[in-house]
Amino acid sequence: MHKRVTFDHKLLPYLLLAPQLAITLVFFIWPASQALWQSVLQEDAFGLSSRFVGLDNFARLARSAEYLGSLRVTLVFSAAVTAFGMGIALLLAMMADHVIRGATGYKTLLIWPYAVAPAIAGLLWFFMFHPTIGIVAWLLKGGGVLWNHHLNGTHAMVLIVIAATWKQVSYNFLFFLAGLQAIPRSLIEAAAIDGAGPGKRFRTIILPLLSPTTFFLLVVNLTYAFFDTFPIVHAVTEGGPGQATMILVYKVYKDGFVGLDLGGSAAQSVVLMAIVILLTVVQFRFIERRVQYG
Amino acid sequence: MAEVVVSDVRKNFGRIEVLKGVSVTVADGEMLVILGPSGCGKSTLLRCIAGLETVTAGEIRIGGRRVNELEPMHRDIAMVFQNYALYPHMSVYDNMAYGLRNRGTARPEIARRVQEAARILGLEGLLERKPRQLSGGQRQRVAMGRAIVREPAAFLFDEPLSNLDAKLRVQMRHEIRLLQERLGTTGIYVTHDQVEAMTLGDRLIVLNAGVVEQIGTPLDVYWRPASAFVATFIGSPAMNLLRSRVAADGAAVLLDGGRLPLRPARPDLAGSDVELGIRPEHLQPGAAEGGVLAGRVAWIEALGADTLAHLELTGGTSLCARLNGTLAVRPGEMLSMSVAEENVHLFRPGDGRRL
Amino acid sequence: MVENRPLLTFVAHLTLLLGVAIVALPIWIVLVTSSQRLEDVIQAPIPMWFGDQLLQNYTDVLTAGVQGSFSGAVAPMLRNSLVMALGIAIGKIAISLLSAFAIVYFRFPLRMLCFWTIFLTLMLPVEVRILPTYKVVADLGMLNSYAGLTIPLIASATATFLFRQFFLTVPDELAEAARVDGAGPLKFFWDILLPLSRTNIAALFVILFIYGWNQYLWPLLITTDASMTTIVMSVQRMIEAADDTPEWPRIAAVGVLAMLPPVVIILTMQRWFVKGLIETEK
Repeated sequence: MHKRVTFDHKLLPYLLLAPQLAITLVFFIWPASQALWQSVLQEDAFGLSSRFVGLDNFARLARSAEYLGSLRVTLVFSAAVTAFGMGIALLLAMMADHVIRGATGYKTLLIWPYAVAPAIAGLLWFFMFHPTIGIVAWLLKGGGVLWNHHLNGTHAMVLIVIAATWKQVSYNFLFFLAGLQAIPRSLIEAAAIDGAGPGKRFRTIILPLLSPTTFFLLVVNLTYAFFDTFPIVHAVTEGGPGQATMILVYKVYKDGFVGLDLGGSAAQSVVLMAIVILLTVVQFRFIERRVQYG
Repeated sequence: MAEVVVSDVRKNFGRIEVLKGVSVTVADGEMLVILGPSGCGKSTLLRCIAGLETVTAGEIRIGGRRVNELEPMHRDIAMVFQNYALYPHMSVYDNMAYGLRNRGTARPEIARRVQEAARILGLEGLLERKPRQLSGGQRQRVAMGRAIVREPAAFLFDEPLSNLDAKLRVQMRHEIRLLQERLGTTGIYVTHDQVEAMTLGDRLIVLNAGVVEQIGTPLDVYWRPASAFVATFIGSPAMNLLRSRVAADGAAVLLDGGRLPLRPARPDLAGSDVELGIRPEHLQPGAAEGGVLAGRVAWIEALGADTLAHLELTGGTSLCARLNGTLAVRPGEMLSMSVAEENVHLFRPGDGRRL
Repeated sequence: MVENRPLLTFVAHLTLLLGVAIVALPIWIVLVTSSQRLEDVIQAPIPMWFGDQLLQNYTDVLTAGVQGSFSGAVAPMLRNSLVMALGIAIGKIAISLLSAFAIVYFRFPLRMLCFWTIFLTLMLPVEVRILPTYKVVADLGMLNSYAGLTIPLIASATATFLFRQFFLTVPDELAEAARVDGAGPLKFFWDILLPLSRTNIAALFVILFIYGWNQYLWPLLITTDASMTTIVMSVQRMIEAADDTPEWPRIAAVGVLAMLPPVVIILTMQRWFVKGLIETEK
């Protein structure tokens, strides 16, 4: 953490830090504290005055069936995106690690969805599933399923899960592949000599050694599903039909920006902040531990 | 060209005192080697002279000028670092020229000095290369070149050879010595390697735990170590240190039934406990006119030219003797060893000072 | 793997090819659609090979845009996106380099407080402080401006950490050699540290350019003026408009244009990108 060599200067370090700190204070810390403050206020119907209501806004959230529904939607959505995104990526990474020759080629072919904006990913799959022109919808119709994510909540959910997963697989793939390639060959060979077949090696050697990567990706994927998928929902389903895809970040936006419920939106922001802080702390504790054990 | 005077320099890191009052004068053109085990403060002393650390107390003068408050660049010194510290993204030429450019030296002058240094060091063909394209020895030369072009009052070397392999180290050691003599620049050289210290230095300063143990020429330090610490630190294998007692008449040291005469006698020490120091290479088999120690050979290490015989004296004390490799010695054998009396060293138990 | 099992290798290639196909399929379809005449793609199944309208469709969207999407030609949107992405990437790199330099190479009162303040930004993504941040930007008169699009996003804990990690690995002797050579802190930063950071800067640039280009919520909030629209946020209006006027080929063309720059960057700079990504998150 510390350098032995440092420069002596009274003012310079502050000048160097000034731009970053100024932006952080003005655009991060101040608005966040505003959100905290507003979360304990309630504005009147005309927005003319506000009064202190303590934790009322939070209590209102806890009682709100809509909010709890949104929480449930978020959990289902995040669990699905994380599980599929990591599962598929691990499978592909295992295969790419296995083939050796051509692994780099596959890597190139698999990484670029990372560069595609979530909103565009939404557009791509909107296209694929569109009831009149979408190729997948058309294939499904052949199989007897009438696809319409405008009307069917489950369809809408499946659509955004696919779009969000599609985008995230490449990221997970890169990390899993790096993790797999970091496992010493000699370890696998030793296990093979000890009589462990591929399946057993995977369970007893590879998976445990991969667990730091897996855990790291778990946190990153949950964060992604919670926060970075806003554009997919906003662009493709707008939370609907009904509340079927109303994930928490989208609800904050909607209640605050469209519904203009300042106190309620601020309370939701605070809840989300708590979730991010929790995820970040978990992630950093883990990194600390990893550093310790080398 | 300058004299470097270090007077009672102290350095604390927090509450830890790393240098506990070091004083030494390096004469103009002299090469002084700072020697000591790791953690003794030798690098800290060098860095204080360089200005990379500020001293807690004391004074440093370079060329008669007090430099305590000066930045490294204003101290008129150049430094060669352990890992060379070449700027990886700059060519050899730029590495050498960087310091001169920062001082606003004129371009033609920079070119002249760099070419000159490259010629001296045999780097002419390599000026456009990047450090990573050079071998270890070449990098070392570039680091030297960077110091030379500055034409400083003093060169400071911080273990500059420790990253090289053994063969290259011998060669570079020689080159550094020749170069420093030829340029006549004052040099201060930090190392933990006693061979480097003995071969390079006009004088050595041996540091232990922030305290000066001895200052003197290499041979002085070898033949008349000022303390038990210096005695065991210089020389390989290390000097035998044996707890013993001076005879009641002060004319001999008694050890496990053996008797080593002291000439001249030391009546001042009569009857007192001492640490007896004998270098392995000064123990010779057979009874000469000196005193005799008899012991059984416990085990031997045959090194070819020499054989190290580890003896157990009758009282159970063990010591090591370095014998000619042609002597046939076998474990279990009884050996009589003699020591010339000028090679008998006595140290005070406790502080280890020479008696 | 240890054993040489041709079947396993075959299955591996098959799985990977299937993965590549699934990754590529939507992009292929959008690409193909963007080259069709409208009448060929109003009903599934749509053609799976290129039509003859490729150039026409792209020219149309670049100059005129998509009907019914209220956002006009796409060319200015691309420009806005480019300005935003470059502004965010360069801005983040610049201020993070400076902060990391201050934190690593100086000792000063409140150093740890500054460090933790920057760290906190990790915990406050835009999504959780939408309204108050909007208000700050509005109060500062930065709505509908490039400054508003970029400046609030350029504080970066991640980039600061990456540079800090990297600076810590730079040997101390280099800074000492520079001091002996007469370089002050700023000269050391400019002459030594910055050139040494080139690879890291390149890697971060790729990641941050993509991050900037793909911004969605932020431009959505602070741009109301159609002339400030970015291409990624225009997607939403096109999807809405698609229900009334399904101009599929043109919508597809806009989609392709929106992903082209970041995809090109990631593919050309893949080496740095992968290294940077894995190191940033370490």
